[in-house]
Amino acid sequence: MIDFLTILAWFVAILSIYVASYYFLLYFDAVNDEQNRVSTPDVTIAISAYNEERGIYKTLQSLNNSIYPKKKIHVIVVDDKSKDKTINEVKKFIKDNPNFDVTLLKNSKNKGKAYSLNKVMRITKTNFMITMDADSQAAPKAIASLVRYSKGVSVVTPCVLPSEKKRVLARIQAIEYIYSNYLSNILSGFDAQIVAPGPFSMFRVSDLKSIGGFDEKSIAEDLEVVFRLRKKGFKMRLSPTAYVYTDVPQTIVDLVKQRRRWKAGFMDAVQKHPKSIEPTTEFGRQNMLNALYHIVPLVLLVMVVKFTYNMIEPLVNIIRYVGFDPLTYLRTLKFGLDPLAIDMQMVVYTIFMAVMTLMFLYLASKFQDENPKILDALLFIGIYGVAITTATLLAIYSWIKGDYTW
Amino acid sequence: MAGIITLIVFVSGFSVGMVWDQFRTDKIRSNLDEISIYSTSLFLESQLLEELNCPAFLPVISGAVSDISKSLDYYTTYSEASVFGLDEKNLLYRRYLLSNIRYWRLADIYKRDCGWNSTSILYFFDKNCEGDCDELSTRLDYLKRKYGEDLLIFPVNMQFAGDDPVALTLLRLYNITSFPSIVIEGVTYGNLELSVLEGLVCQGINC
Repeated sequence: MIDFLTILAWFVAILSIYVASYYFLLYFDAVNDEQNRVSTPDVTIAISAYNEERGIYKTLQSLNNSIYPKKKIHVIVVDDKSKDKTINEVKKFIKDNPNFDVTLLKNSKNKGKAYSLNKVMRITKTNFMITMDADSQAAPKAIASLVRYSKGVSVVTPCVLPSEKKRVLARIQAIEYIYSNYLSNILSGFDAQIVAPGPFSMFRVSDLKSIGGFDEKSIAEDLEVVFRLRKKGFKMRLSPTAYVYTDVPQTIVDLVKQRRRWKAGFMDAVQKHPKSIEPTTEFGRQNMLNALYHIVPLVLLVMVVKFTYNMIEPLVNIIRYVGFDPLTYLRTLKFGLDPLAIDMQMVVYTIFMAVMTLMFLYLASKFQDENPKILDALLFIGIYGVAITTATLLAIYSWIKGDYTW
Repeated sequence: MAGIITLIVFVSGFSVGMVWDQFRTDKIRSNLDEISIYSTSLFLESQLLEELNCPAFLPVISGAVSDISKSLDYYTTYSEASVFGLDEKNLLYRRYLLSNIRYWRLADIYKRDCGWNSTSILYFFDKNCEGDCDELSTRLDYLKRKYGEDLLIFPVNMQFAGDDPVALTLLRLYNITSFPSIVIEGVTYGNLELSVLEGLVCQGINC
């Protein structure tokens, strides 16, 4: 019979099929041509560092390895009142590389990433500023590749990948990043990207200044800033040849925490800029689909609760009405699968989604010259699904409470 | 365009679901046909023969009761799995019910004439007795698992039996006015504690 849960399941199915079909069609229309720009303007790299003693030297070294003319790169590291030896590491790098322009600034208090980036924005004299996470490493061609796509746009974004892929969780996240980069490349063709990734994004400083820089109260400043730039009509592109490698969470708990922050940041940004989900532009449609998709974990939660209840109820009844006699039940236990008992309607939708997912994975892997393993892809679908569902539910809870802390 | 693709995929799923429901209905129908013919045959045999061939017949009736219980499992599982509702749902249940009652009668005949050590229970329930019915169903299921073929349970779901004359006659015959109710050796009981229920079951099968 058609009950409330069936209707919820249909809602999830329809939304998922729609989103998959939507991106499938976008793929055929997407154009993201290289601009063959040959000029090499001066670029400031802004790095906000808080307790980054483990990775900051490596981060700076990756910039030093860039093929972009060294004299045109100006790195400013803002130490956000680190409690470890971040400052010493930066000083050591400066000493080791006297010909590379690296400046160290210090915050008197821990003020947050957005504050540090704004600090650099205010003092920089270059037209372009690249914001970089202190735990990320740019590929040698990254800066040049970003610059190549900068004509007529305010923000140029890179393809982000995990810096190590030995651990299973890192490999699973790598698949997510492969998807995400590919999707961003498609959306870039429609000027519809919704985030300027924190690890390495290039901003036109005059445009950034015109909107007042980064929001220092936001927990997802790299997403919120895009919403305000879009509001002013500024454009964005992805450079498919600019690669940056970033540290990714190593445990499920850290992954859930990170995604909770991202999701809560999105909801916060939508709340602040409600017009950003109006489906009148491709950007608005992306945000609308993204916002709508936040309902899916709630539906899944209801279904999981109902499923668990259905599983547990008979066991509780046995204990309550019969008592503890597992042997009788074990002796008469029957196994077997009756194909007619399967919900074939949902099987059709699942097969469609699986085919779309695998097709996207194939295209995305080809696009980035990556070669993920099928097992990792399957784990990605399983583990990522649970982690993101949990993170979204936590984010919704934070949003209801009005708590947007890190 | 994405909307059209979504519509096509969704309708395809819907159609496959409906075809699947048809397969389910067909399977229940063919299963019931088999059981119905078999039960009629056995019933007629018991009426025609002056003396029953008890040693040959007892395993047959025991297996047949197991088959009818399987048929109810199909019916329940497929009804729950079906999104759109099975075709002729109530009609199918009534067919099941008639075979069920026929086996119940047969079991009584063979208990009487062949001295078969078994207990048969007619179990009446409907959707409005959730708590009590859950309780009694759990206990009956447990006892069935414990005593196996020696305990025969013939469930009658009044939600689906509706106004079937045989079901209504049974209600009248055993003076059943509320659910759950069980009939053991001609006596009607309501919900019973496990120990009491097991005591009644054991009167017929010497536990």
